[in-house]
Parts: sequence; structure tokens; C-alpha cells
Amino acid sequence: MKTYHVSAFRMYRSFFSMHLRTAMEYKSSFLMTIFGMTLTSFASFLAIWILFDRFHTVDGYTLSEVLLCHSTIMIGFSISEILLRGFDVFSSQVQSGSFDRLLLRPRTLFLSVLVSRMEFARVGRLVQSIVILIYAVWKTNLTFTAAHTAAFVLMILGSAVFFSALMILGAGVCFFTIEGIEVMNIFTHGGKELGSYPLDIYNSRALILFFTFFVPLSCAQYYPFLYLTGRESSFFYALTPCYTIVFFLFSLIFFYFGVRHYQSTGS
Amino acid sequence: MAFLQKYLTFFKMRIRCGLQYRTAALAGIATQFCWGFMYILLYHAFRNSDPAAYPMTAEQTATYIWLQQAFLTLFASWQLENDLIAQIKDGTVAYDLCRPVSLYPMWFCKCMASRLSRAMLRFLPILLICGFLPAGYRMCLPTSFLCLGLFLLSLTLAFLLTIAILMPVHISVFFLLNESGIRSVFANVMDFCCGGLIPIPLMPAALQKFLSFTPFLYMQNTPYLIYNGYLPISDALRAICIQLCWLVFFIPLGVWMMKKALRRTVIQGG
Repeated sequence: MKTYHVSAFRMYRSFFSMHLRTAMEYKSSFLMTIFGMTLTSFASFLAIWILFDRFHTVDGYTLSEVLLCHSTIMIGFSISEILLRGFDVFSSQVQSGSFDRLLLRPRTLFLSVLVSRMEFARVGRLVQSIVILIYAVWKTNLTFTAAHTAAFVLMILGSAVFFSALMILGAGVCFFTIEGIEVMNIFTHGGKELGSYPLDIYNSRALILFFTFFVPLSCAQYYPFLYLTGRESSFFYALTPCYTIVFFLFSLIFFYFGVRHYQSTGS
Repeated sequence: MAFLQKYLTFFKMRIRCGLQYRTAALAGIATQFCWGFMYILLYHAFRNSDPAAYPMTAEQTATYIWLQQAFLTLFASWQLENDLIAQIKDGTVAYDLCRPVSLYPMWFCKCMASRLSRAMLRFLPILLICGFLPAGYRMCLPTSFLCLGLFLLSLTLAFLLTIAILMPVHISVFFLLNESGIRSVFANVMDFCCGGLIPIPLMPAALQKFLSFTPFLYMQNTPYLIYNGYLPISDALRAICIQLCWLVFFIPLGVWMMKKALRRTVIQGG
């Protein structure tokens, strides 16, 4: 008997197209949800814009610089929301017991959870953030040397890895709490809001240190931002997003640690 | 009085039900603390950048933010009653129609109770702790008893107004049969216009002027601005009158919509 072994990449691709086609089945509902989601992120953009309309600068940063922060964070957040939605809503799988089914699949758990859900309705948010990013880059007068381009790319990738890691971490916590816990929102949504501005405007050293070493939001975005806008000249600042990979691996280890503690709810 | 008794019972039932979610409340309190601090730090940063352009004092800002966090669940625009919506969708609303009660007041009571029960668990700890924070972050006391009285009155009216405005959103499910679209659009618009994202005094004058023609300006931010002294007593009294007017507009609107919806509702057996 011949066994077919589909590569993980091909499997991911076919699930990707499946989820996309599912979403497209209900076109009007899909478009409406995209619109609603875009409105949410538009509101937070509008809030920044309104504040700058009144105050013009914050702590020496201009509107376009803040928008640079805001858009990279939002891009990272929406990428991880689209692709890692399975981890984001993982508590429902643990509660309903459907996680048991994933355990029986002849694939790694990570892949199984990854392909279980994809949320294309978040695409509107991604597009909007990209538009804002283009505007911000155009207005900020950045000098793009090779090093700056690297910082720029790493900043976006780092944000995506950072939020992905948070979602996996949140999923890992579900093994112990069964319920999804709202406290994780402090880091995901809180991180998104905090990171919309350069972190030093909050004028708190403890906050920056916490978001450097424990939850590496600043590594993903704030330090490369400083390099990009010429506030710091050491290339080390551009490389800090690499630290998010460590955080990602930690989350993954924690997730698998959680799996070992998993007791089915039995329902 | 016997007429009100029925609705009071629904109200009590819901309150008891809601009070059970204590762990969720604890998590909520933690989350709201973090959000509160984040906003206060953010607005202080803007204030330091251009103090002349900032319309409130640091204490007023902190007080506003903490009140907002403490009473978040009373005014949450995205919080629709999911079981009422599920009832409409799967037709079990027919059971409620068989009861000798009117649907509108019953639903109104349910909405009130579930919001109140959530708020009851949260607001006291938040306000208590915030009273002892360092200056600039501290929740301050109201300037006078009159101010406190007006705050409580306006808070109650704003709460009723929020539910009265959300009732037509619930009822629209009878017509639309899918709430996700209207929910996300309405929740976002309402949250923004009520000052949920940035306090109304920080908005541009033109936008404030525009919002003064909508009910949104007279919802959650009005009681907070009365409490922190941003609105002088005369303005506060005026705002309270307008709150009453909007309430008188939205409750009959909801009742009328409900009547209209029920007239065309067909319950399919099964």
C-alpha cells in the first residue's frame, strides 16, 4: 500500500485555500465583517489624528512618526490575527473537547491548530494599516540605507512574531484555566494600544524594561523605530526584533508544556 | 404595583445570575486598571507637550479615566444581550411572547440587570484603590454634595439612555436576522462618539458641536464631566434636561419598533 505524505507546506496551502473559499461563500456577511473590523482600527487611527490636531507633537514625536509606530504594530497584529486565529480562539477547542480530535491527527499539534482557523475578515485592517504605513514613511522623510531597510523589515516581522507568540502563549494558558482569560488581553490589545506610540512618551522606565525583557514589545518595534528615525545610531537597535524569536520559542515550549498537562473536559 | 412586580423579578433573577461571575470580574478589574494607567500616562504625555491646549487639569483627567474604567460595563456599546439575540434567531422568543408580560420592558430590565450586576462587582474596588494613588493619578472627590448628587442623577439617566439606544439595535435583529454587521458598525460609532476612545473635551470644537446634536454627547461622558467639575453646575443641569429629552425620544421609538417587529414576525414551528 502506498502512503501519501503531503508536505506541511502543501497541507497549509490547501487549508488556506479552503478557509478562503469558506469565507467567500458568505460574501455579504464577509464584506460587512471586514467593514466593521476596519472601522475598529480606523477609530484608533482617528483618535491619534484628533489628539495631534490639538497638540501637534507628543514628547518631540510628530504625527507621522507616531503613525509609523501605530501602523507597524497594527500590521503585525493583523497578520497574526489572520494566520494564528486558531490559537486566539483556542479556549473554545479546549472547552468543547474538540482538541482531542487534533491530538489524534498524524501531524504536529502546532500545524493542526494553525490550520484549524484562519480569519480573513481581518484583511481590511491589514490593508488600512499598510496604507497608513505608506503615508507615514512618505511624510517622515526617512533615509533608507540598506541598514535602515533591514530595520524597517525587521520591525514589521518582529511585530508579527511578537503578537503570534502572545497568541500561542494565551492558548497554552487555556490548558490550565480551561477558560480563555481576559488577562491576556492586557498584553495583546494593551500591547497594540501601547505600541501605537513610541514607548518613551509614557515616561516610565519600568514600563519600557518590562516590555523589553518579559514581553518584548519594545524589541519588536520601539528600538528599531528609534534607529529608523535616526534617534539612535547603533545598528544593534535595528537587530532587537530578533529577540522576539526567543519569546516565540518560549511560547511554543509553554504551549507544548500545557499539552502535557491537558486533561480532556470530556464533553 | 403588581404590574411592576413581574419586571422586578426578572431584574433580580438576572442580577443574581450575573453576580456569579466573580473570577471574570477580578480579571476585568485587573484589565481595567492597566487600561486606566495607560490612558492616564498617554494623556499626561500630551498634556506635557502642550499644556495650554489641554482643557482639563491632571486630576480631572485621572478622575475621568477612572470613572470611565469603573463604570465601563454600564455603558459598553459592544455589549449586546446575546441570549436575547439568540432567542430571536432560533425562535424561542415565542415563549416570551406567550408570557403575560410586555417584551420591551422585560428586555429593558434584562439589559439593565446584566449590566448592573457586572458593574456592581467592579466599580467599588476600582474607585477605592484609585482614591489612594499618588497625585496626578488619583481619583479625586467631587467638589460639593450638589455635584455628587447631579453626578448620580446624570449617571442613572446616561445608563437608561444607553440601554434605550441599544434596544432598537436588539430589535433590528428581527428584521436583519444577523446582528454581526450592525453590531460592529454601531458599537464602533457609538463608542467613539460617546468619548469611549478619547474624552469629548479633547475632540476638535467642530466635532463637539456636531455631537451636541446627537444623543451620544449626553451618555457616559456627561456624568464624568459633572463629577470632575469640568461642567459647571448650570451646564450640568442643562445636560441632564437634554438627557431626559433623549430618553423620552428613544423609549417610545423602541416600543414602536418592537410593535412593528412583532407584527411581522412569523414563528416557524419545529
